Amino acid sequence: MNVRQKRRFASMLVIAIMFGITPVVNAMHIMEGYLPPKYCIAWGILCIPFLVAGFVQMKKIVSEHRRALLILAMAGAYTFVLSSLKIPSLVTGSSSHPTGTGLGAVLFGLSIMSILGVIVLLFQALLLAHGGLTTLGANTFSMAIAGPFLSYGIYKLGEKMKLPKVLSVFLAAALGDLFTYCITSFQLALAYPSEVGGIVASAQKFLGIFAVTQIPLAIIEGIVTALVIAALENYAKSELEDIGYLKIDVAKEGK
Amino acid sequence: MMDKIAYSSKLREKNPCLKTVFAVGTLLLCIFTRNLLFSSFILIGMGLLLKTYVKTSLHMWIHLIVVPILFVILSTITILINISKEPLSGFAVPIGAIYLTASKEGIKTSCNLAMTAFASISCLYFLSLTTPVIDLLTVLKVIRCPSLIIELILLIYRFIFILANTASSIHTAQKCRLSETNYRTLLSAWSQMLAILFVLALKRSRAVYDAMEARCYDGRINVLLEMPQVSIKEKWMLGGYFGFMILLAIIIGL
Repeated sequence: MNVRQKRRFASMLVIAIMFGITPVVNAMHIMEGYLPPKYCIAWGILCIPFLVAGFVQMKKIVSEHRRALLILAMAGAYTFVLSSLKIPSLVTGSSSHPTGTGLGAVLFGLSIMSILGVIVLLFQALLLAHGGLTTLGANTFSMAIAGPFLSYGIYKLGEKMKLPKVLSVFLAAALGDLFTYCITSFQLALAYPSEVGGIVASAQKFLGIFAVTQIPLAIIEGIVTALVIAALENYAKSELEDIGYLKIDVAKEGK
Repeated sequence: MMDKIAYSSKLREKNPCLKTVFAVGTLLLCIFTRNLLFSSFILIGMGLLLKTYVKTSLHMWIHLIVVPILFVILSTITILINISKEPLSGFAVPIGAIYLTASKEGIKTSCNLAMTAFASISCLYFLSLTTPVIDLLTVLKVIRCPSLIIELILLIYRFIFILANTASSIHTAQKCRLSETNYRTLLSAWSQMLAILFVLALKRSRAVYDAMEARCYDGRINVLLEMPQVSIKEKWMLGGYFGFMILLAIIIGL
């Protein structure tokens, strides 16, 4: 090989490795120790108001309906199990974890989801080593607050615009998933701006690399969430009404 | 799940607060110094501790080690490599008119970052491989976490295993009925399973509530939590350890 061929070979190798590794990685969580301390603290502080609001809401619900505590716990466990299952991905032939927050937000409402999300993330860090303790704040913001926020917003918007329920649930879950991954990329980019081009270039790099797995995954999660909601509407109407009061209270609080 | 290993670790009987302070303290030191040498020191130390006190299969070790390595390598490559028209000082691989390139400082920061991440993950592993979640609840109680949250964590922890079991048996049953023939059947089986899981979860929660009500549940779950004593020797050792580590961090930092 001459020098040029060697260079070409090297560049091909780099690209091949990038694409080869990407599918295995669970890109949504920021790993333990990956953020500098000031970002850990900043993201943590940003989460506090949402968590406090969620906690107050939850306390009110539990004091009014004692049974709700058990349902909330089941909801948390359900979100955890959902996010620990591996959904096989169509394109890359590998599998990846869904976030499950879209479904959670649609079923249980927003403020509940933030508290459940923190607990689920804590469990994921301790039981599965996804995410970590110092990056809990950043992960909470992207996965338990930003993602569900958008999902819930889109779901409500879909309801208002009288879109078919399946479609609005699909959009809510898929876009919520994508939004989570954009926020994660942004968080990483903010902490590690690129040497050439700064934060924007860095964000583009992260978005580009994680897009390979995340876009198909978001679509699949959207489809699965829509199918789950459709199935629940069909034969679990009474159960849905059962958890309805979790959301009715939220609505009242909003007014 | 890593919890299973924690129950059989040799440090299981030690005071959970002690273990948490040790692991989280080291983790914080590691993140605040962000130094290659210091992190490798912590990584080796934690690795030795884990090897002595935690016994698990080779397969599990490989899994525990490989997953973070992949993530760290991928993210670090992303941070390291720039796409630019001008080659930087470190190295440059040309693709057409542009370069995949990095500066020398960039390489240095990335090495620091990768090592810090590995060392922090080893601290996290130390905590979760020696301390079951139930023991961590005592720690939460000590730092005055609201009791509603502690109860919720306790219940979620219990329900996770129930639901995971149910999910895996439904999955097996579906596989027996050829649910994985093609991608369409697979997706529909998935969503059916999740929907049924949801219904079963609610049913289960109702049953658990009735059972608790029958046993005089009044809105508060009272469980006796055992708290092993911390011996004076252990306190001194912990104090000495952190003194030494902080000193080391200052020396290396200078």
